[in-house]
This record gives sequence, structure tokens and C-alpha cells, in this order.
Amino acid sequence: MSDILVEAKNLTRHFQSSGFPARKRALIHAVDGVSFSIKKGETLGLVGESGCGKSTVGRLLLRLIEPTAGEVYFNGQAIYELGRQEMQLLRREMQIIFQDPFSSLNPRMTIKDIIGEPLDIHGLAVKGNKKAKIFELLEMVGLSSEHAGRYPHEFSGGQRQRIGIARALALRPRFIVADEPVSSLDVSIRAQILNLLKDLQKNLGLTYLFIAHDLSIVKYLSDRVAVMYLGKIMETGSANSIFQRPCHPYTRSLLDAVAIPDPDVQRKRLILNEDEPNLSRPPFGCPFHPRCPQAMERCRREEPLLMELDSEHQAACHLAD
Amino acid sequence: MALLEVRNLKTYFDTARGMVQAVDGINLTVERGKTEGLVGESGCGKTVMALSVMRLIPNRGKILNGEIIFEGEDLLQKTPAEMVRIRGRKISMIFQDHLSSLNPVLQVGKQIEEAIRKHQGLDRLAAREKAIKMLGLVGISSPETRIKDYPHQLSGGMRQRVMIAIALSCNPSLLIADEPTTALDVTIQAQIVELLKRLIKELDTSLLLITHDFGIVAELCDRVSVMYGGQIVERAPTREIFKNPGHPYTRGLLNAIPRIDRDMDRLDNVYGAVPNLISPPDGCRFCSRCPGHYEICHRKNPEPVEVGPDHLVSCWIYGQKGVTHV
Repeated sequence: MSDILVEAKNLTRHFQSSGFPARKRALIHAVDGVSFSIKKGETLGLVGESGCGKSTVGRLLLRLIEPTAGEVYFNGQAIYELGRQEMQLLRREMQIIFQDPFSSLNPRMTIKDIIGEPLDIHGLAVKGNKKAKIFELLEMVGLSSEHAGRYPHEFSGGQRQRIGIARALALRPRFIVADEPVSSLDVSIRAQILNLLKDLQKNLGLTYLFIAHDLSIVKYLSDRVAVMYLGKIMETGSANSIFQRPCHPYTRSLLDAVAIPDPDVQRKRLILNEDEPNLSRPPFGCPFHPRCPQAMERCRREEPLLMELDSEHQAACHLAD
Repeated sequence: MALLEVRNLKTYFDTARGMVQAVDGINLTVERGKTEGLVGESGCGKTVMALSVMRLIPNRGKILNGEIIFEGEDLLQKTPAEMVRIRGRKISMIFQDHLSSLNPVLQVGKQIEEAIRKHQGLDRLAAREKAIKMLGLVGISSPETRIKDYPHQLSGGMRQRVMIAIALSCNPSLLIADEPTTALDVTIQAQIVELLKRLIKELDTSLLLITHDFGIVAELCDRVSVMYGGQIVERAPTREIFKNPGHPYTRGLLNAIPRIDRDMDRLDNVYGAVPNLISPPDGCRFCSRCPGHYEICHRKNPEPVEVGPDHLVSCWIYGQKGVTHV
């Protein structure tokens, strides 16, 4: 058996934008031919600016939305070919933690109902045993059994995120998509949640897709990193190689953008000139060339493909040749 | 003399559940031509602090005590009419939420002109010219056409630039920026930081920067105050706070930041959460989260002690000369 748990092949998803009149509607290439694989027990960090399609990738992997084209294999099984019942069975293996701990919890449900709901749906709750399971989950994420009867509004952002994590863990999944789980949290709370995610991975042997826009957070958690821009992967590789030898100018500019909390670090920054372009009219050639400080004539004409730089590092850039 | 000096400021909010001591006895100084950082997590009172200086506290809130000396005059003694002439002209503010801070049904040009015409008495044409100049200054390309855009036609980064243009259009001597980069992508954050850095130098404006991000503090600030539970727990020159942090909260925060420039096996946990400011505990407010607290910490709130040049720490343990480790 191979050690790959999740594999995406040529994953593509287009959306029809709203607009009036109809001729103003455009086709948005949210995800455009993305391929990668995640090994058992590792964390793949998926990085990019807002609107680059990283959340859509997360949703496609869990089949929360259907793809326009492409395949996702979970443990060797092509998930888009599964029937409804088979898919529901598979959902026990794959769960998601959402970005916003406020809108992702039903305000009218108590904590024990929120965490217990997946158990009910999957018929895993035996009377008496359910309560014990919920308490165990609460303890696992650093809350206590006395919280079970309360409602979401009684909790702070960090505690709510813990509840969201407990819900995701309820079915004992093997794979979790964490979609910007800490971006709305304060510094000290963020550290608590990041440490919790790390501990859970170690203790339960979880595999993560960790979606974020901040490379310093990705660096803390990830074994491998994929950098996305306009629906495409620009560079991917082991965390070490990406952070030590970034090849794509976009990766470099993302790294430069992170403010380092040390006044003695003097850096020359590669600052991108423009805001992100329109997704419905992606530029011809390399998608990054209008913002790239090193763009050449070739970048305007020809789109670079992901190329192997070494066994654990790929980049889609003409300069990387 | 300092440009802005806040002395023993107390701003409380009267709520159904009790009196919220949002800002509780704060001293803060912004020197002319310098950037002062105010760092803290959400709910620590840093925005209320800024709004108090602007005298923009909503109805339920009251400034109970203190002085806000700006250019030698106490702002708390000013009439509302006098404050209108100070706001925007002498002190202006950039808000965190650029989407709700701009009027969605007015062209951005009109919104910049509004401030200019109000405070500088320029006519329509001259104000338009100045507005175009300001948009160019904050790095928006082809400002002559952009001036007719509505806020929804601009990206988040551009809206924040427009906010900065409005704030700086009347050459204020003090700019208060409340989390100016928080809702933005990292790449856009970097652009805004570079822009602020350039503008305060060019226009010779003093900046009070409110943020939770120590990375931005390291890049922009000359001096930092760390706020916790409505009070300032530490104040030091920027370099000093990073190299030699005193208060356990400052240390905890600094070690809780994932770093891109070094490998970290584990982040420091500052356990627990911020205290309730309705009836804060007696004694030190950080006490319940502090790794090394003593009996006195529960009883009495520590006074700031100077532990080095211009370095104040309010802590019973670390706030003593020579004590660096417990």
C-alpha cells in the first residue's frame, strides 16, 4: 500500500459569476489544473493571497463542491465516482475546520449538540456512550465537560475554534482540511490553537491540509508547502527547500512581505506593484507576469509548467530553468 | 515638549452588566516626528484609547479622569465645536475596517475633497486638484480617473490607501492608525507599511500606531507601549522591547509568534484569555495568566518602575532592576 493519503490530479473548478445583464457574467477560473499529493501523517501548507482559490481546493478535496474537471483520490479511491452512501461513509475519514469560529457554529445549539451531531448523523452514538465521547473530545481540545451545556455565544473566539476542532475530530477522521483556522485570532490565542493542532496530529496521527496566507504560520506547521496564484500552483516542495531556496518570484515576494518581529533585521523587500488581477480574465502567458519584477518577453507569450528542480521541489517559472 | 501626552486617562463604559473599565489609568506620550506603537490583543482597550484622544467615545462611554495634552492644550477641556476643528486638521485617524469607513455611495474623490474643503476652505476646483495630488501621493496609479471610482470598485489595499489619503489631506501633526493592515493580505500589508513609512517621513507627521502585530512594530515604531486589560504594562524603545522584554506578558507574546526567520519547535503558550474588564481582579491584571506570580501580585496592582533608559515595566517581579529571571 502506498503512503499517499490524498491525491489531486488536474483539479479544476470554474464558477459562473453573477452579473447583469447576462453578457456581463464571466467564467471565473477559481482552480485551474492543480495536482498534488499528501502523504499519511504529514501537513501540506497551501499558501496564497485571498481569491487565489486555496479554499476552493480544500472544499474540492472533501467533495463539498463538485469539480469542473479532475480527480481526487483518497486512499487510492476516486472520490468523485462514489455514490451518495459510499461518500457519506468516506466523510468519516475527512473533516474540515473553518476559518470563522463565529459563523461556523450554530448559535441555537449547545456545545454538546454541535459536537454530537456528526455522531448522530453517522449512527455512531450509542446511548450513554455519546456523552462520554463528547466529554472526551472536549478534554482533547482543552475545554472541560462543564462547557457541554453552554451555547456558542458564551465562548471567546479561541474557545469557539476549539469547539470547531472537537466537532471535526468527533468521527476520528484521518484527514483534516484546516481552512485558515487561526487568521481571526489574537497572537496568544493563535499560538494556543497552533500548538493544539500540532499535538493532535502527533497523538492521533492526523494528516492536514493547512490553508493560510501567512507563511510564518505555514512554516511552523507544514512538512511540505504549495504556493498558489490565480488558481494555479506556482511552486511546491518540502518546507525546508521552499523557505531556504524559494525559486518563484511570487514565493519570494510572499516571504518578503512577512514582517519579522526583530528591529535588527534589515531587508530589501521585493514589493509587488499591483493588487491581484481579475480572475475572470487571467493574463496570457505566466499568470504572475503582470506583477513580476523579473518578467521577460517569454513570460508574456508562454505559460511555464511546473518543473522539477530536484526530487522534492517544483516551480512553474521560466527563470527556474 | 511632547506632541501628545495622555495622563492617567480613564474611559469607562456603562453597560447593562456593569461598568467596563476599558481604559484604566493610562499614560502615553507621542513625541514630535516619532512613531509610537500601542500593542495589545483584542479587548485590551487600545481602540478605546485612540477614540478617547479623538473624543469620539460613543454615548455609553465616559472619560472619567485624566488629561489629554495635545500641542500644549488639554483636549478634554475643548468644546465640541473646537474639537471639530482639531479632528481631521490637527489629528486624524485611519480605521481598521476600510470597507465600512468609506461612504459606499460617494465617489472616493468627493470623500477626500470633503475633508479638504471643510478644513482648508479651498473651493471645489482647488480641492479636486489637491485630492488628485493626494491619491497620487499614496501610490494610486492614474489618480485623475480613479477619483471618480466608488469604494466597491477598489480593492482592499486601494481602499486603505484612500483612507490614508483622506487622513493626511490636511497635513495633520498627529496621525492615529488603528490596525491599518489587519484585514489585508500579507503582500498588501507590506505595501501599506512601506507607504506609511515613506509618508510620515515626507510629511513630517507623528504617528500613533495601534496594532497587535509585533512584526509591524519592529518596522515602523520608535517606541512601544504594551497594553493589557486596560492598562499599560510595559513601555520601551522598540529595540529594547525586542532584545530585553521585561513584563511576562510581553515575553509571552513575543515567544508566541511563529517566525519565518528561524525554526521553532514549539510556540510559547500564554495560557488562558484576557480578563473581564467589568470587575477586573484586584492586584495585577495579568496575574491569572502569569507563570510566576506571588502573593503580592494578587493583592496590589504594580506601579511602573524604570528598569532601564526610557524602559518602564509594571510588574512586581520583573519590574526591578537586575531581575531578569525568576
